[in-house]
Amino acid sequence: MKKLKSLFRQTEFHALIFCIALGLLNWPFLGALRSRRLEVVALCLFLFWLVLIILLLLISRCIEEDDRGCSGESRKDKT
Amino acid sequence: MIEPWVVLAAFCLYFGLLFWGALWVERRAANGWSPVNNPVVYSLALGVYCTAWTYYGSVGKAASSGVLFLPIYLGPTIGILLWWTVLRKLVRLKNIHRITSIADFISARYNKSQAVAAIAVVIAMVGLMPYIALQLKAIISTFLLITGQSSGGVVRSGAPGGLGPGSYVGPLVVALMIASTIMLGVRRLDPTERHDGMMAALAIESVVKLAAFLVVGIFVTYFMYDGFSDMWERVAASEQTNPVSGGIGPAPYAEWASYLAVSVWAILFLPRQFHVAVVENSDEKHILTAMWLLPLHMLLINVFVLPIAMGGLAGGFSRETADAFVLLIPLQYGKDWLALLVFIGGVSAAGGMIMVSSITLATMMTNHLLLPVVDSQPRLAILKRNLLRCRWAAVAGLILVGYWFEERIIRDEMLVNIGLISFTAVLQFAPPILGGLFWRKGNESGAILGLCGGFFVWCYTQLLPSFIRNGWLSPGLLKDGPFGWELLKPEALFGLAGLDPITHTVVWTMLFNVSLYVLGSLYFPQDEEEQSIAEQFVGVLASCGRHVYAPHHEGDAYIDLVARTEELRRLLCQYFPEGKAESLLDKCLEDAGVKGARRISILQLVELQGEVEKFLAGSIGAPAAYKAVHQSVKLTSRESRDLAEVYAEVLADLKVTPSELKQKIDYYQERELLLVHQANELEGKVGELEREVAERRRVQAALRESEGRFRGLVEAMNEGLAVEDANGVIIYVNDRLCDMWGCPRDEIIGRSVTEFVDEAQRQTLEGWMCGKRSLETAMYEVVWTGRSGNIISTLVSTVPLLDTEGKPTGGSFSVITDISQLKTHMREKANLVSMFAHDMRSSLTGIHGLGLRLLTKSSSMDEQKKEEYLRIINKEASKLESLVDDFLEFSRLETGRLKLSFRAVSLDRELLELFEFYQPRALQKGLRLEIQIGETLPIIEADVNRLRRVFTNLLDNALKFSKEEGVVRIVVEETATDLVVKIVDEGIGIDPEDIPFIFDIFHRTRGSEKREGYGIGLATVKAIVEGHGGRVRVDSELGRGSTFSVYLPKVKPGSSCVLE
Repeated sequence: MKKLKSLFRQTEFHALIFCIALGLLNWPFLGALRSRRLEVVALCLFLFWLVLIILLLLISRCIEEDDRGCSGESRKDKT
Repeated sequence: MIEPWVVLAAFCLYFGLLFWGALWVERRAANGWSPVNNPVVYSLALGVYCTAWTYYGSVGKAASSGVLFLPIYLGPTIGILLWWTVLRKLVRLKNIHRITSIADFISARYNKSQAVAAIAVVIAMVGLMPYIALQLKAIISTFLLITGQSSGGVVRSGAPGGLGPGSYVGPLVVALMIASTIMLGVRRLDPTERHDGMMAALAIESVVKLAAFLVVGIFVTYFMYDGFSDMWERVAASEQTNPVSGGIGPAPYAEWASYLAVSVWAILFLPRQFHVAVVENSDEKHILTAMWLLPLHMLLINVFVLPIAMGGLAGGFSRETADAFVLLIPLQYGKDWLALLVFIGGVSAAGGMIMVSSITLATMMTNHLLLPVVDSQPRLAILKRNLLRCRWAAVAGLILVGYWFEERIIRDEMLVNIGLISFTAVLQFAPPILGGLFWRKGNESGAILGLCGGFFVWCYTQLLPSFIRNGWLSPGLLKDGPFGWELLKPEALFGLAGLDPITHTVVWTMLFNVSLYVLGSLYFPQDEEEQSIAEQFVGVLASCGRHVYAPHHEGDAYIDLVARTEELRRLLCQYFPEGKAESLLDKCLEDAGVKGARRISILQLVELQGEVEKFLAGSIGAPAAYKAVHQSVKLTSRESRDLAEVYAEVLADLKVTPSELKQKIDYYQERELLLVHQANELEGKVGELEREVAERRRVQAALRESEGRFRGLVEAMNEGLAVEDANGVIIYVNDRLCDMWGCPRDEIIGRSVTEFVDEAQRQTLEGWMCGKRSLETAMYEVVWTGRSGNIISTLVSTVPLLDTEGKPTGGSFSVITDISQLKTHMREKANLVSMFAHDMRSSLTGIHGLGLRLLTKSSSMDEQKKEEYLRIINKEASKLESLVDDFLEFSRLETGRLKLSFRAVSLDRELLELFEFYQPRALQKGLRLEIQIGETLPIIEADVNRLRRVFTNLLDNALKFSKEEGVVRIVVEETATDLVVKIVDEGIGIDPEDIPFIFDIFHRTRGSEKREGYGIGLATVKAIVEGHGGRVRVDSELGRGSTFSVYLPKVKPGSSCVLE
């Protein structure tokens, strides 16, 4: 879990997800949905969107936790 | 349809509430606590991204192109993944350079170039004008639609060639938008360009538009249809209601990808988004919340777009009117309230955008277009003092131009298409901003070339076709290209045909922009200052922001501070009123640490210049501030030489190369940044602690007040109270207990309760204390030994002390009630009952014996003997009757059954009769009985028989306890309210210790040697007199006699008395 949190905090990981998300929402992956019905396409896109939001929530929580931890450590150092 | 005045009233009321809320927030912020300084408000304010374009336009796009509206929101969600790096850098640089707008930022990065700033402003102005027009169009169209002045779709605000029914709507909306924008965002000149009130208004608007859209979405999905499944099934059955057959539509990929790419950066580089995200940011950490809350807001506002689009088509509306489906559907179903809610939501969506965009554009225009012109034209210098009014004029001008644009240019365009034109315009900011943040070699020349190239291509491929379609230019230009050169056709540049206009523009503008930016940056060299700025911008997350190196070497203080201050004052007075300029200058002198000095060193002067430049940059932008300061405060040749020498000296002292020095500075700057960051955090924590301390103080004060009340209550109690800790040691006692035990408090506290009892009692107490950890309340009798050896019988009620969780602490508190008197009373009662039984038995034995003798021996008994026996029997029977009467009286007193029957009487006759009756008895005992009575006594309401018993009792006692040859007097007096009858004797008197208890039942005085009677008489006297509403008192001196005074009210309140 600690390693996973550390991964979520890294800028390079954010850039990787950015590239993957951009790629998945373009050709050729989007072509797989071409023959599907509108409701299926909409459902897939909204689900993908929701997953991205959950990922963003996890990333922000991990960074916030790290930030709090750092502040706590620096205070401890001072005392 | 709704009456126009109702819609107008709702519109004005809504803006009035927004303004009131914003004012409230600003007042709070001025008092030191800003309600908007939190991540949720920041995230909601960023929801200004969802404008009328989203609110109405997404449905229009969905009706014509299926899910093609989604990349406009999916793109930002993907782009937000990079915010912790990109936006954090922007915010940090904003704090360092006091950036006020996106143009200011680009200019600050590229050598504080006025040219770069001016180009950025022009791009933003031209690019955003269609967007502002779009918002005005949305408000005006929906107003006409909801009031029944239009049938839907693309509607006009006035009939061609004349004043239509809605002709007043456009000017009214424009006037209202100008007024609200100035009041919320440009009311004053703020060096930080932060507007708490506006942020609050934006957050409220985000919530309102989301709520309105969700309500209409739920209405369509669950009232028109029976949920999503039902909707999809019915849509599938009807080809007409299916917006796009086959999902994404024909050739969607390029269009989809360009929408996605454009919107990734639009969420940050649209001037209004930059303003809210960067300029209005008060804490970097707020970005973390915005990273998930903003996408969630966008997702929620888009969930019902497809259902509404399908609902509109199913309702028989044409695709051309799809932009208005959100409003048309409630109107079709006669839901006027829902239509009004939708209208207010739409006003929120459009109003927020107009407000922020016009504020940011006005700031950019005045700082980067107007001020450079004013600087170059001395005749316009007066405008510097009227910067605020210039901004008001700019806001008004921008909204008016937007209105003109709405009326003349965009006409029949769909909302989404208009919005995308603006998106492609602001995309031109992406290369210089991203390059400036991550590429050290990006320079001013590259930025100017890239921006100009990209903007020119945008104008050619996007703006020009709009003008041609509006008939301003020849359509041949669009069809054949200029001069017949097909390669230069605006919508198929260099032969690139087959793409939609947006993709076409994105491809060419980015190609030109990025290429020229990179080539220009590589071809033209950077100067040293530009390199330093680039280093700082690229490494801002790792290093500190301060770009003015300030070594601690002071140099000689020979510069006249007064003269320099005067120069700076003149400079500030050009932009601010005199008072404001003076206070700003004071702050700068203080911050530079030279306040009060007469002469300063060269380094202190540089520091002072830097402070003034920073303040000025907040109001007029970084480039203008830099230029103004360096033009106003010129260094003399000596000062320039000394400055150079100081720098050289510093380098020499440090014995480092310039690059090593730079590294060291970066290191210390980074440390400083960390310290500043920590200090800010600590400041926040201190603020929190201060609030906490204030809250605790308030709670403590409340506790003290409560404790005071309880202490007062405890001290006023007639019962003693002791609190013990877990070891049985007394930690608190009240005054009553001290009195009871006859010990001062100091001698009781710290001792065990067992020390105040004898051995037998100690065992009882210890027995209870062993089990006092239980939750039960105990009640038991304890006899204490007072300090003077007196014995005090008490009833102790002990309750265990509980902690906050309700568990026993081992301690206890005890309420101690003195029952000594009660005990004595009970004992005396028992004795009296025993005496009574004995007396009755004696009398009955006598009666029984004599009766028996009379029965058995009456024949042999002479008459005289018989008579004697009968007299004795009669006497004993009378005695028994008297005993029984006494106890009946006692029973009545005990049970409260003493009943009085009042009538109006005058007591003179009764008292004279009593006097006559007692006269012989007094003489028989050698006493003199006297009476002092007035001629006429007042009438009172009384039970004569009972009162007779009162006076009989008192006279019996007076005769009984009087000494021989003494005098007993009946004295009748009158006060204003009472008739007072006193029985005065010269007898043995009453012991002062008996006086308080003289009227208690069963109490017999100690002076009475024989202790005759049962102690019922005086208790009866008191009960009867009090039953008359009067009172009885006794004054006595031992050995000198007593006076019993009976006070009877003259007239019983509320009664009309007639003497019988």
